[in-house]
Amino acid sequence: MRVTVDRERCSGHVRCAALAPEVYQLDEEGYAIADAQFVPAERQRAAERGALACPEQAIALTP
Amino acid sequence: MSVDPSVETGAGTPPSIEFDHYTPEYRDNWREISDTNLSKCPVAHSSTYGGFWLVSDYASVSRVIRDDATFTSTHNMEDPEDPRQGIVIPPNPMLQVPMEFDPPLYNVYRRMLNPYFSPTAARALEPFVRQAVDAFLDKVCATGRMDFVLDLGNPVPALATMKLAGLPLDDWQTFAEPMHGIVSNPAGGPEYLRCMNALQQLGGALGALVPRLRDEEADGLLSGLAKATVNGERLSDGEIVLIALLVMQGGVDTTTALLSNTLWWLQDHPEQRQRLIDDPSLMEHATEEFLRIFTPVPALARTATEDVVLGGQRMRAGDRVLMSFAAANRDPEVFDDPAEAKLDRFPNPHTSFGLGIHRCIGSNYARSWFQIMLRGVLDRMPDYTIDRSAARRNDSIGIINGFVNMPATFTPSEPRGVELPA
Repeated sequence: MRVTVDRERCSGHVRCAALAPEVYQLDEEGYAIADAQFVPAERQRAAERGALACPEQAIALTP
Repeated sequence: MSVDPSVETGAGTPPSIEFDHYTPEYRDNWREISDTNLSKCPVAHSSTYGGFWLVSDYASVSRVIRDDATFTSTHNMEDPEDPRQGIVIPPNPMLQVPMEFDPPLYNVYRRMLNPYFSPTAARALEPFVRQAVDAFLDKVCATGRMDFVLDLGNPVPALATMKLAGLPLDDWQTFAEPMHGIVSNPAGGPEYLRCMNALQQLGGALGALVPRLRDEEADGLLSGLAKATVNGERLSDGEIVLIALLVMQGGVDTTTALLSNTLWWLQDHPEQRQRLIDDPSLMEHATEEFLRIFTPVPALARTATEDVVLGGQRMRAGDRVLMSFAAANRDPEVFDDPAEAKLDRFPNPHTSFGLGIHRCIGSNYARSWFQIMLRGVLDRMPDYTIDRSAARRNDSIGIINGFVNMPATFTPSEPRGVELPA
């Protein structure tokens, strides 16, 4: 699984990183960074919960 | 499926309501009023305050708040005839910098401010906030009585906001009082204007600090702003003061309102109070749910920049638009059983910090301060009882849905010997 955060949509709610800090890294302003970042199998559920938590629907998960 | 053509084009007469978010009626019945608007007229025209559109449903609120080109935040202070009058209805007499800016200028300010409000910055302030909570609770714990607003909910965010701004901490009461007055009274009324006047005087005091901070090294936002540049130019003293005042207005009383509403609710739901005491891991989701069901900032405004159809209603360029976050947070299209507080609700895409690029810059601090204060109360006075006959809600919830004061009693305990942070 890969995860991409749409930097145009991300508004820094930090809900993804609060739930899944092992998947979602933040820049120094508090916005999530992920560009087709690989997610190992044991972190996929955390990645999905982080994506679901985003109120901007800015997170895309792809196979 | 047949589609009513008027839904697409906005033809016909719009639903007309008399909506006034500053009345006691709204304060006492905002849930019922929101639910009625959601089901009967999610986008309706109100004749109050010179006329505006009230937007209640989640889809329309999120459309308005994300489309900054069509729905501007701009506030033209020079020309009251310009329909663009910012994010409050009726307009705030003071420009809110940079909330009342649009891109691209807005983004420049936001990027300059963001590092002071990041999760890292919020985490760094936590030891200070914990100490402040312990010190304020130390003052009252042996007496068995306290006021959740005046002894905790107001002082802690005020002190923490002054710390992050880099202001002298001994002045916190001077700042906290008018901030509280501005949000608990109707905009434009005499009390509001008195507090606004007090704030402008405080602005003068802040402005006097700026020249020294232009070169001198110091901690905090004010010092950072004094040295920052926007598009290659330094910020003026006036702009720095406006930004600092907005930060204080955001930091003081919003988190207070979330805490007081939560403590009130937990008194009605002792089993949920016990759940929160027993299971600290619940705090994360519970915080979002308290934000959703209490919506401390119930509504903010925009101005349409062009003709647009929203929720089947045709808006004209220059129309004012009020987004009801309080109603959107109760939209059954998005939230199952929206009237019910579920402390483990997930997902919970509430609108209480707004959405899009103007998202509340203080949200990382707000969550952190709220949780530390709530944890402090649940640890040290878990059996509290609010004196409901003596507690007073804000006269108006048009700006903030909170309490003026909230006296409570509890089983006394020994102080922990913690001093206020210096």
